Amino acid sequence: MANLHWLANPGRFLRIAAVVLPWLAAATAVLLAVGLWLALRAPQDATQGAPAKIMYMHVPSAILSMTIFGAMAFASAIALIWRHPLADIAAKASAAIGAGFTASCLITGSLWGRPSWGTFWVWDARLTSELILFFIYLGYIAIWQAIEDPQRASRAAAIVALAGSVNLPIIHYSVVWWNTLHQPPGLMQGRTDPSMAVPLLTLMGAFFLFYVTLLLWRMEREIVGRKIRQFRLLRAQA
Amino acid sequence: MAEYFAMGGFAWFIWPAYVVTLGFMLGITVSTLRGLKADRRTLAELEKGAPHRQRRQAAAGMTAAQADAPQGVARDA
Repeated sequence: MANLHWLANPGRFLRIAAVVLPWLAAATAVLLAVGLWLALRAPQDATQGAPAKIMYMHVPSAILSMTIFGAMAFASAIALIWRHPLADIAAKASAAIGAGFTASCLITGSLWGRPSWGTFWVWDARLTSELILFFIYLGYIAIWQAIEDPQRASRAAAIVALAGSVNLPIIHYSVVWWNTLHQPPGLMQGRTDPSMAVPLLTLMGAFFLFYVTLLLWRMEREIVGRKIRQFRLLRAQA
Repeated sequence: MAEYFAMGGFAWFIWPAYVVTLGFMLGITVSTLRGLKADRRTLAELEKGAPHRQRRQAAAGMTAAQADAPQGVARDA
């Protein structure tokens, strides 16, 4: 926890972010370019054919949609318990990125579903629980927009993030618990051939770096925005 | 080349998937950086006109976003 407290000072955070961000952004761009190059050159899936190329966008989006929500729930817990001044900023700054990846996961999945299952959408456990995750993201974002006072908004939003995290294991195990149309994951069980696993893992890494880069930029924006708000409040009082 | 882009007749499913995902990533990057730039400029203007005391207060108010946070955090550490 010591490191977390050390980073609790927003001024220090901004100075570290300014040093790290150019490298992080460059690494993201390089890894994304390499991952895309590998993915587009990867051989066709033996059973699913060309549409399986959608996997390289769909799977990293899906994993990020859940990872980001997990990170938001973790940050929210820290914000609630220790009142860490950056924790609620981190959670808030994550939400739009996570919601975007969730939408991307649903849309790419739907585009993959049509040629392989014959339908864009089914109310199957995996698809439905991922759709619910999208709505939880929207609810979380709506709370920040509806409550003007950041302290009160932070409290309410943190509770939504913690309650919503119950959905994460449901999404993950949905393909095991229920008989779904959606295929179970193959990557971690070693059932994916390296010719496809390597591009996929590279893109997953790239998407993750992208999240961290965007998170730092959005946190900085939130800190600047709160300073602006504070200035205006002081002006109004004076 | 054309054959590759045709993706065995599945081009209309595959390429939109790439456009949606990469388009979102590009879009949120551009909007975040534009917003950040604009907000930095606004803050710089506010700071320019403000007396030193107000500048310190604004910075402190931001740190204390969670009311009693700074003292509590310091004590826990």
